[in-house]
Amino acid sequence: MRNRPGALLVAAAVTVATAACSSSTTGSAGSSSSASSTSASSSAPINVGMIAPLTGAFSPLGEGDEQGAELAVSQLNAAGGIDGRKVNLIIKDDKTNPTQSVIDFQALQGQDVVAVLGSSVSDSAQATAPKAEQAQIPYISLSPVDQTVNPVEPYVFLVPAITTTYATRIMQWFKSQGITKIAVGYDNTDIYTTNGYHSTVSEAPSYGVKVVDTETFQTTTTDFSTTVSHVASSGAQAFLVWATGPAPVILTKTFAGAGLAAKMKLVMTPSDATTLYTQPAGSSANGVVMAAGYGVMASSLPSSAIKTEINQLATPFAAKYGGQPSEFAADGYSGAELLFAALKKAAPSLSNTGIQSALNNLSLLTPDGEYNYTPANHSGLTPDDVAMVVVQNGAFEPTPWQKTQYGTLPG
Amino acid sequence: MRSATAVAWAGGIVAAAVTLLLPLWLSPANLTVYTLAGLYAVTAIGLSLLMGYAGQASLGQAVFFAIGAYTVAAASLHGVPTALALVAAPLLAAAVAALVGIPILRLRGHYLAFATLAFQLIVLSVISNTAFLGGGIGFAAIPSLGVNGAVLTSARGFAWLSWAVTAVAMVLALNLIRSRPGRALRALATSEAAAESAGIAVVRYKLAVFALSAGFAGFAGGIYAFFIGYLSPDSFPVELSIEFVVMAVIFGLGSVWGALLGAAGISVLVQVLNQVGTAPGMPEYMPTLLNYAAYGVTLVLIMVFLPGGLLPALRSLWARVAGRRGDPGGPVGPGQGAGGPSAVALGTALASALRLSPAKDAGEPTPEHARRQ
Amino acid sequence: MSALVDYLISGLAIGCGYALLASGFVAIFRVTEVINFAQGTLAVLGGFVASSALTSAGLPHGLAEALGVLAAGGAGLLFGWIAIGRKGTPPLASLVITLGLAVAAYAAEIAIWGDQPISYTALPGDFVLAGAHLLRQYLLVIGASLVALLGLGVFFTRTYAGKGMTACASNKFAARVVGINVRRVGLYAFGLGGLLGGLAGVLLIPIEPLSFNSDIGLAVSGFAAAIFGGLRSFEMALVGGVVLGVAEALIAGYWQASYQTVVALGLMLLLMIWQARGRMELA
Repeated sequence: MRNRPGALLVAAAVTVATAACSSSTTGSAGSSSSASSTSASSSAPINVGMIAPLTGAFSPLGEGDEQGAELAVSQLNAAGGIDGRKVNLIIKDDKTNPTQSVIDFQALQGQDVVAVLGSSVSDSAQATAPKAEQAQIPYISLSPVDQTVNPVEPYVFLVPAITTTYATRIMQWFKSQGITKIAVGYDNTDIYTTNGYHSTVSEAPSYGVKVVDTETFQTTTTDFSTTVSHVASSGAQAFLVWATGPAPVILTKTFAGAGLAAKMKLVMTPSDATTLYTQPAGSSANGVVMAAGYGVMASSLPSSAIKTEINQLATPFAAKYGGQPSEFAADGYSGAELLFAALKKAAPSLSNTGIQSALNNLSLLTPDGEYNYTPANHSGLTPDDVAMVVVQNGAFEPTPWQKTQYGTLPG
Repeated sequence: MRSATAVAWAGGIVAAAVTLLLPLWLSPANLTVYTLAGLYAVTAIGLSLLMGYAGQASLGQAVFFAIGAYTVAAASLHGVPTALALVAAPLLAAAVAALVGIPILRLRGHYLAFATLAFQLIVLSVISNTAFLGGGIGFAAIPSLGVNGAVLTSARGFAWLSWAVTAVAMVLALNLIRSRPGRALRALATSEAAAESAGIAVVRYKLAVFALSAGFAGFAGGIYAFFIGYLSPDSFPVELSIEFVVMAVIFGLGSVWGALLGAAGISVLVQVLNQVGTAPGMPEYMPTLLNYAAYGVTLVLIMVFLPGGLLPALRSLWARVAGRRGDPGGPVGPGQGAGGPSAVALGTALASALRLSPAKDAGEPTPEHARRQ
Repeated sequence: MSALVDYLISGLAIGCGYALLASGFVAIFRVTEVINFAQGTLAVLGGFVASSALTSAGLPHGLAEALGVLAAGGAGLLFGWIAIGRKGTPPLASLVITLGLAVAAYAAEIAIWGDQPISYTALPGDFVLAGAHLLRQYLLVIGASLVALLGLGVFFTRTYAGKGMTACASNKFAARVVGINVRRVGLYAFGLGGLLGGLAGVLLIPIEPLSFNSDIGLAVSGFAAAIFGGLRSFEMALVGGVVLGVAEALIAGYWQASYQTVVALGLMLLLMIWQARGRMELA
């Protein structure tokens, strides 16, 4: 056949190129083993993997995750590391794409990481956690996906709270404000936000709250005029929105543009507790109430154990990046701290099972709150670990109600 | 040219052996690239047959890949044995193609292109709104592919499965081209009017190729679902369909080896660009940027300068280097040689099969087009 | 009642945007028989350039948008030159080239503007009509679109250049005989398509933020509207755009926004298939 020789030439070239490509990557060739980097040399660095959405729609989240985790790593290494071994954080970009997250995980496996800090993209968490479980590599998830800890998977642990925890706290706030009728909006293409909706519906009755309107949209929705007009005519006293990425910014602006800010409260969830929401939303975000970790309102906290803990993150963060850490920076930092605490307990062997059992019995105060992991509870947080804040001029202030709750601060 | 065929056969076997052994040395990250390249190759082969032979422009090949993947996911998560789900994947994809093909294959070239694109968007939208199909959230923790308790989970295992599936697809496609229906298809690609007058049921053949192409994509999609273990409508964007077009077009439409090389070549290129893009000092979005640049620029360059694909150009280069007489680089008729269709003929056949009749469109006359109608 | 007014007006505004995109398709197709898949890209580019002109260069409104439209026109010329500039490129190959250009444009857009959505406020504030809160921007979109489409009609029927373009569209051979440089006219058509796309972009971006991959949705909507007129009629493109925009708004308002795509595209498919049945020639 005439075209065969040419095809073969190219086939051979491509094959060689692929082989050359594989040997030029930093990953080690060969199968991934369940043994971690227990190299003979006791000063060899410990590889910890991290997957984060550094690009794509959720890049504001990934930026924060990376900042927080890197800060924790540098503090740990400055203090001598773990048994004298420094931690080497290997970060991979999942591009806000769950398939990419799985590919990144497989690449990290090849680099013999002892554990992985999972992506804050909820779909990535859904896709990757089962793979980590299968490979028996401890997976510390930075994405609030309830399904990853319900039912409990031995190797998967959650850093943000589950949505029921957030919903409960928000309901507590509604009750304190005498709000009995709410509208709920959520992104039905995202599991975190969808879980959030279900949690809202299940928690509301116990606090005397009724859901009078439900609105759905997608992560990519850019036009919220019909959503907002539906809510306006629903008679709701508050609009609770579960959304991540650019969509909540647009929704907030549309909400304010329709003059609704005076009529009802707009309530958001921790996925929007970042300047990358408040800045683009600008003045439309003023008065928006949010559930968030205490880290975002650190400067307003009274002296307390949690404030000391948060300042360990907030002070160097402000020095390096300016401003307060976002929810995601706090998540990244807390996740890293939890992992390091477990690594210290599991040293020097650092086997997968050793790290896992260390995590299974871990109690630690972090900027995200006080964690109590047990074999039956891989979420570890309670509603008292969630703050109710209000956005004012780009900053997060405690709501008046929150100030009355300082008696039950974590720590 | 018996010796040439023997050389070709030997070469093919060598290529097969080398690629079969490759997974032994690849790192886990590259095993993933290898596996996906194989699955994409199968899909690209199907598309190449469709665009090269039936002359149908399809900007929606990813939808059949998706249908295969979703069949596997939905079925196995609802209790169907995984091997059975995998068998169902290409069948369902082909059935959907046959059904949809009946109305839309009657459309003219550019309408058909947009119709396939629209079909993909519609299907993705329907899936997003159907809870049984996972809705907008999709399916996670898809069970592992297995038979009688033995499951496939290792990266290397998937790489070899991908190799096997690609090999089978190639053998099927090559045999199809050389068969009697294959010759009818080649006639179809050159001139529908002539084919019809020769008694070939044009519509039925087009439908068959459409369904077959969808079946290839569906099977690849099914394995993809087991491999990644997660899917959602966002896993199958329009960009993916365009990537398949690039893979099919680079080396020449209608060429089975060309589609394989296109898929493998693009996958390697993307990996290389990934390395470049993640080098220290590069901005975060560099890999994504380079990815798009690679696909877009490749497609533009090929379609502007070598619409027949790289293989014919390489062949004429080879001929010149080897000092052979008779330049095979010019446009030639279909069915040259023992069974290898001319990629050039088919590449331009794509265009000619969809042109209006000469009276209506006296565009820029060129040697190839003047030779057609 | 106010809800209905809301949906009608916002649908009309978006629909006019679709009509502008559609007219870009029509302008290019009539002259060159090429479907410019990158029509959406031109809208995005127009919007992005206008946004940069506003924020980075500090230009005032009006001037910034004009710059965006011109930039899109220039991009259209470039796309046209690549897609049809070379002799012997069949129209379907040109379509695939515009496809490649749209994807390559992603890389350029990400490099210059990043991958996050971009928007700006053009005509701020809202007004009230029959109880419905409506963005003032809607009025701008509707007004500007109608003026542009009217201008298009006048251009094609009363100006020499326009008539030349129409001649190319109906009979290339005769046009060439009369001395019209068909290829150059084709380039102008692409430039015109760029201007129309850019105008759509600068008008829509205040209503819905655009990012680098918004082009597909815009192109598909514009194409769906253009199908109403068989890709040849500007008037029907306007009708198609408005019908599509209002239909989408009504579906989102009374049913669910996620069904918009299915209905709009389903309508387009049915139309295409229906139109094809009326023709003697089969694919």
